Amino acid sequence: MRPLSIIFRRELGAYLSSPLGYIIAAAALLTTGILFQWEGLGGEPKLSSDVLTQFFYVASGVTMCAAILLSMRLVAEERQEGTLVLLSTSPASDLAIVLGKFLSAFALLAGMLALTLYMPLLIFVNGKVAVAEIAAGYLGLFLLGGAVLAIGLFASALARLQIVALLVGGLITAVLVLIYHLAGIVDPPLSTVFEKLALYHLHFHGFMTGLIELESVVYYAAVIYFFLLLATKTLEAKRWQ
Amino acid sequence: MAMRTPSAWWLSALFVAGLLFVFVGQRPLSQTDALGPALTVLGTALALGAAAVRGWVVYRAKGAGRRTEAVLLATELGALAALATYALTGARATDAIDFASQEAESTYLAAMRAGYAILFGLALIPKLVVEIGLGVARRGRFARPADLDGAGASQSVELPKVRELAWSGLTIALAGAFLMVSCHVASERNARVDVSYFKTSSPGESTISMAESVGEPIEVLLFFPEVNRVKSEVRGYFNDLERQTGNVRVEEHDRMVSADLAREHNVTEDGTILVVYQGRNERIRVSSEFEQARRDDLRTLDGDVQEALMRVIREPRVAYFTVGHGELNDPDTRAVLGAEEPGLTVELLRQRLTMLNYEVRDLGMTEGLARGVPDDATIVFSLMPHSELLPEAQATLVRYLEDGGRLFMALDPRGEADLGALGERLGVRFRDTPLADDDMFIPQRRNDSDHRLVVTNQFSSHAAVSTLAQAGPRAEVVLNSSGYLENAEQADPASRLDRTYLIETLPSAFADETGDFVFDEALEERDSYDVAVAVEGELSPPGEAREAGGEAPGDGDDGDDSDGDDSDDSDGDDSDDRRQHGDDDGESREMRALVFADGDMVSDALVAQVPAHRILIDDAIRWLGGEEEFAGAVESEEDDYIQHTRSEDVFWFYSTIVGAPVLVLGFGLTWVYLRRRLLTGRPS
Repeated sequence: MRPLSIIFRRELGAYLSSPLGYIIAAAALLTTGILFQWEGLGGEPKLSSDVLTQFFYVASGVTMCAAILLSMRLVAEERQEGTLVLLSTSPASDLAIVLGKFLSAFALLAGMLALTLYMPLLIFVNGKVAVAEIAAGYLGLFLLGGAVLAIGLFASALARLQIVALLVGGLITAVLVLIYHLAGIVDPPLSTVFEKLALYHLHFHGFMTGLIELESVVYYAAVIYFFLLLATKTLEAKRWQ
Repeated sequence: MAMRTPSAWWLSALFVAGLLFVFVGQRPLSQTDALGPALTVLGTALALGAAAVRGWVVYRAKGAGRRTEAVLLATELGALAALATYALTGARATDAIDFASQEAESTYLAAMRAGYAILFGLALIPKLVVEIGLGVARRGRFARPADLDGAGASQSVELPKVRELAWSGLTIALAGAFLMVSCHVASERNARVDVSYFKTSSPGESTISMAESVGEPIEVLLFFPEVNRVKSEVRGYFNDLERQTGNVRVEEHDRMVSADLAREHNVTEDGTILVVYQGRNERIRVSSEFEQARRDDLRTLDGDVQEALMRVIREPRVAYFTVGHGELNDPDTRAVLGAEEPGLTVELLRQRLTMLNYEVRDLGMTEGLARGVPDDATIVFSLMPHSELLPEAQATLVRYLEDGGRLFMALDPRGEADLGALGERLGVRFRDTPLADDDMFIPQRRNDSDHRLVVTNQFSSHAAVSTLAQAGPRAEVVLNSSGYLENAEQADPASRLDRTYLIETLPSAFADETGDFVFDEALEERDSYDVAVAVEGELSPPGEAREAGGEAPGDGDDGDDSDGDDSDDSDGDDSDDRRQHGDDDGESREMRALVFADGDMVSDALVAQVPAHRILIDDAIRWLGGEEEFAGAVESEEDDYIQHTRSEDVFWFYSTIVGAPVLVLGFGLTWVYLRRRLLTGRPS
């Protein structure tokens, strides 16, 4: 646990002591604010539940982008700067390295999401929403963000350059999101597989409307676990190079 | 980094290509007669051939090279096993097996499909990982006999790396298979928790007043199963009502146990609520399934109870809607007059009237509008007539008011109608210059025309708007191109009428004389414009007015307080005086009229979206029907539309778009700067 804790604190400290973390957080807040104004608050009057749904819809897109941005540097930067060798030869296992880095990025992402909390709370002023409904939406955002972070971390473990990690992570995420649309044009059982595999549509929509489903929670946990495993195995494999 | 292996890299490529051919033949080209089967056969042959060659290489190779080839052969055999499992899901295989039932066949197919998918994963992922690790350079051809010496082979292949990679691949595949199965089980045994907004409505002020107003206790019979969550919610509502009124008796029954009672009241379903009063009973149906009830029934329970109470505590009444002048309720005539507009309907007003136990009927020339209002009329509505009411119709309405009738009149600048003779008699003039407000308005089209969507929260404390007045500044109504009302000289001075202006705009409003939606200081004036008036009292027929002679309107205590300050003297001594005045003649002829300068206020578009408009029409109907003691909002936990004025929009805009990001960035950069200064100042 100690190596994991050291790596977690080191990574989180790196985010918080450089302007990058704050710039990404401010940019995420700004984007969420603009999109929330446009989609949720602007135009025709909307039911408060619809406004909340629109907020989570907007926030989910921003969360995915922020997660990819935050994760791209996790391993690729170490490799670029030549510090990965030091990390690999340290007493920390590959699993501890991956987990420590993932948890630090997740903590930052969770902090960023917590900063957006005032937006759904504004709905209380004029509308009728439940605290649990907002909490369910945020649970969905944390799970979705965690899943995309894990994907990004895997991409970062694969790539030598941060930009490549960004592209690979973005591509995997995009494929996993868009695969839902493929489900409509292929035959069963492939359509069912694609539908269930899709990162966003089937699994996140429930959270947006205050519906927590075991299926979706297990799915996101599985995606996080699987991509963290892939990242660990990738780091192990890279030791042979 | 590539290693020399006994076999060429393309042997694996050939094997995978064979599997791809099978996939294409079985999936995208499965409907073709020749190509699909041909590709399947070719693909299978390729895969088998590649595996056979691999077997031959394993047989010939030695040392580390042999073990590496054995690993690759194992993955290929696994993939072939998956292919065989896949074949067992085909029509020929299932036809050959004698399944006990359809269910057994489905179970078999599901198991086999999961099986071949997992086998493919377990075989191909390690193969892919090992092949990536081995690389393609220096592996373009098969090894010659000289290369297969034990020492040479051991030097060329890093067996531990191959083994490690194979185990990694296998771990990933096993994890993927485990997660696939976990997700499938979670999907099959899915548990859902709906935490969206839900609250059973509580008894509203209006419902409480109704229950208190009756002489005998109201009985409420709840027919639910013994243990039921919906029953607990419903029971909670009626317990509140019982506690607050002391005039409600609640009984719980299981319709199976109290079979005689259920039969007596014809109750055949769980979730039936019977409201019984003096032999009359009304039933309310709610679902006994909690998830459905929370979505459909419990949030609006107060409205349903109120509707049931209105039906049992008094006889039904009749409300007449005038037709034939392009009224909102008369779309056919509006179409003929070219006055159709989307959303300008009054279905929600009809629904409210029905809920308040009114029967709604049309009143046109054929129904007697030129001769006289039917005797059974409680209220007559004339809703935004597009053309002027015919003189005969105006005369009928005046006579109706003289006889103590109740009139709801909504005019609008978009029509050509005016108050005409009614205005002269009531002492009210309608101005058809549309109002605008460039400060308090609803931004809709995001241009100047939005200034016509004026927002106001200025209500008098008159009984016709008492609930809105009590609700405070958050209760806002929206006016859409509204006209305004002014005092006019009253034609019959003998009438003793009270005029109370009910709703006025905020002082930033102006009458848009130039029609350009913007304020022109030279030509227009900002003021609080009156948009609704309540007139009550005795309206004397012209003959009586002449006999009564000279008492001028506004003289003495006639209650005319329409000086723009709004009065709140609709209750108290004045009304007592009026009733006494009516009693002197042997019968009360107290008329009540509500005149609005904006027809949209009762249209579905605004009533559906702005809760204050629902309250407004409820209170208006109750006041006109003489039931103002039942005034009060219906408690509903249904979702509300969120509508912002321009100034609120600006606040939300700056707080969401600018405020929060600037705060985060400002804090972050300051923290980074201070930290760096602290670190640079510290000795190393």
